[in-house]
Amino acid sequence: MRSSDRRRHSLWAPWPLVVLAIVGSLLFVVPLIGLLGRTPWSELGNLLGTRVVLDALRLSLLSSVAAALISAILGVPLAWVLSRVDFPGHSILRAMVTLPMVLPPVVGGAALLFALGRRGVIGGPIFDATGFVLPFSFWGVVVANTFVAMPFLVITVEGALSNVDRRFEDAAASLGASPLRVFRRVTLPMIRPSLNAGIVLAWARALGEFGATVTFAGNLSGRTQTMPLAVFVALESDRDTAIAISLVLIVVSLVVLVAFRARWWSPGDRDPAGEIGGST
Amino acid sequence: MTPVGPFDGDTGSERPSDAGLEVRFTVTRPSGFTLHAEFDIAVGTTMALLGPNGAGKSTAVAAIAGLTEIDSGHIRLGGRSLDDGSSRGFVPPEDRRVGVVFQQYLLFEHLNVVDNISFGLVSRGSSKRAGRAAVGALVEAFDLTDLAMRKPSELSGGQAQRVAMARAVATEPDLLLLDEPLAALDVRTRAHLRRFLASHLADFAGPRLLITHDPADAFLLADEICVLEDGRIRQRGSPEDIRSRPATPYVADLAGTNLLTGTNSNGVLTVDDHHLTLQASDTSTEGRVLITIAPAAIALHPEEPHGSPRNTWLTSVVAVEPLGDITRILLGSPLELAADITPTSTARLGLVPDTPIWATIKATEIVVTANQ
Repeated sequence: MRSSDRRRHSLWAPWPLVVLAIVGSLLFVVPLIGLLGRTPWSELGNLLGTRVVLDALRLSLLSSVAAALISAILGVPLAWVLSRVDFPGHSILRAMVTLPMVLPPVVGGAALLFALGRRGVIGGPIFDATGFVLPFSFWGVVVANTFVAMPFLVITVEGALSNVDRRFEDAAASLGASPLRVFRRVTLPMIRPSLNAGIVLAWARALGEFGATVTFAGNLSGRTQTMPLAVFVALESDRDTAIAISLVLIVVSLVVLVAFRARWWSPGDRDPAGEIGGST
Repeated sequence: MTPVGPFDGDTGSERPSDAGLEVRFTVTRPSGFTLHAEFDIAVGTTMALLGPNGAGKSTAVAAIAGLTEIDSGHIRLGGRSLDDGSSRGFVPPEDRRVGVVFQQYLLFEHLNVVDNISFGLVSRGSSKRAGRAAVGALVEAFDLTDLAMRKPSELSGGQAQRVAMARAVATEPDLLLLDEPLAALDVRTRAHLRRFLASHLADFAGPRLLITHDPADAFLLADEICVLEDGRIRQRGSPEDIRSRPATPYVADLAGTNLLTGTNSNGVLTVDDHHLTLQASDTSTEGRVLITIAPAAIALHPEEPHGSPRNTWLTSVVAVEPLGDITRILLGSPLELAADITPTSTARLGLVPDTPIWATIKATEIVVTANQ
């Protein structure tokens, strides 16, 4: 399959498509060149070695990975319910789950604050009972990240689940596998490529998260100040630091996207629908 | 457990032993299609459910395997009720102990051959190691030892179907259900795997149900055949019964017998919708009749035979189908019939489509049975 797909890649494409494609890619390449052109290469080590930057890097990596994992743990069952269970309010729930993808993150952060803040609907009673405050803490960052990142995982996995050939699940059931076992041993392996893609998408979205985080978790250096927040602060005072941090974000993201794209996203490698016969 | 719905009361057929399969149900699909199924399979026998596409075979598989609920009636296996038409009486597929061999194999791509075969045992509580050990003999018996570590995508169709069969019997189910097991295979592999099935079906102690649209599968593998058409079982009997006394044109076509309807008046048969009468030796069965003519009973001549049998007419060749030892000639107007002759005769007569040819049938070769 893959070799024949490769062979069909043509060197000659209709020129209007090529021209528009070039303009399109310039939109992504030019800002990167601009950033690289302004990068103070000799100072880079010193700029990135400061306490503030290292704290932000650590916070960003930890909170984005935590958000991606929580998204997987909660998002896969949610996607399964959305794709397999028929219940009243089904389409409303799906709309609510995907809402953070279109909502300005600031609005999401404000909503989280009203719900989970110290005087929030849920956060209030919790604070009164235990003294625990979620916003303006590391876990506040994780919650804000998960809020904006999980929808990407849910829609990716839900799409894969509705394309799964249900007869494989029937076959597993006929062999005596309980529904939970069918899910773990048959369905999950069949949607693995999409699940991986969903996790990477969610992680990438969490890594770049700004609006919900700053609204819900604040901008406390060393506690809630992630890389995007650090860039924003540095742009006001120290342009070189802002550029250096941006460069780190770009490199980390590119490495992950390229690596996982090659491993898990190759089109035609594995078809989660229909036959799962693609050899690796 | 009292039967409900249209199957109230005993149907008079023999009772299956407690370990067999007893099927009496009606199920209507969302499309409006309704299947009435009614048959028993005794332990150690193979029943073929034979029917064309759309006859309701997949619905029967779904109901027996537990992938769909029946509307009324019951399904009993090994003395246990699997479904009685009530939602509380529905036993889910994982608790039915029905081993299914699916047409498209449906092997799990992320597991190798051995883990596919032991999947059922592991699902029922065995450890992975114990499961692998337990299927060792089966892997050997099914000639899969060399393929044990392969992934399904690295198997040929015939190999994959052998794995699917091993996987289905590994848990020692109470029923072996084979859903079009040979349909996805090419002709040569199919013949090979049919022989394989013939020898391995006997090793399975319980009742065996073979779902197929291919009469060759049914006639060669089954002890008994149920013919399913339009959601109903039209005929049931041994392969010999079905072959010699087909009840519908579909069955006759499957069995390679010409089946016509008409009327018999003192040995003169008027064939429905045709301007031809045939002379039969049977003068006792009067009125509406089924007329069966074995393809081998039809003789073909290049010129009008003299002193001939009374049933002689000029026709033309529509198609020539080589069937191995014999060649089946499909004849056109005035009477569409299939005639079987040797390939040698076919060559000698120079038979190709549109060849004019004389057909004769002896009156004694025409079998007449009452039709209502």
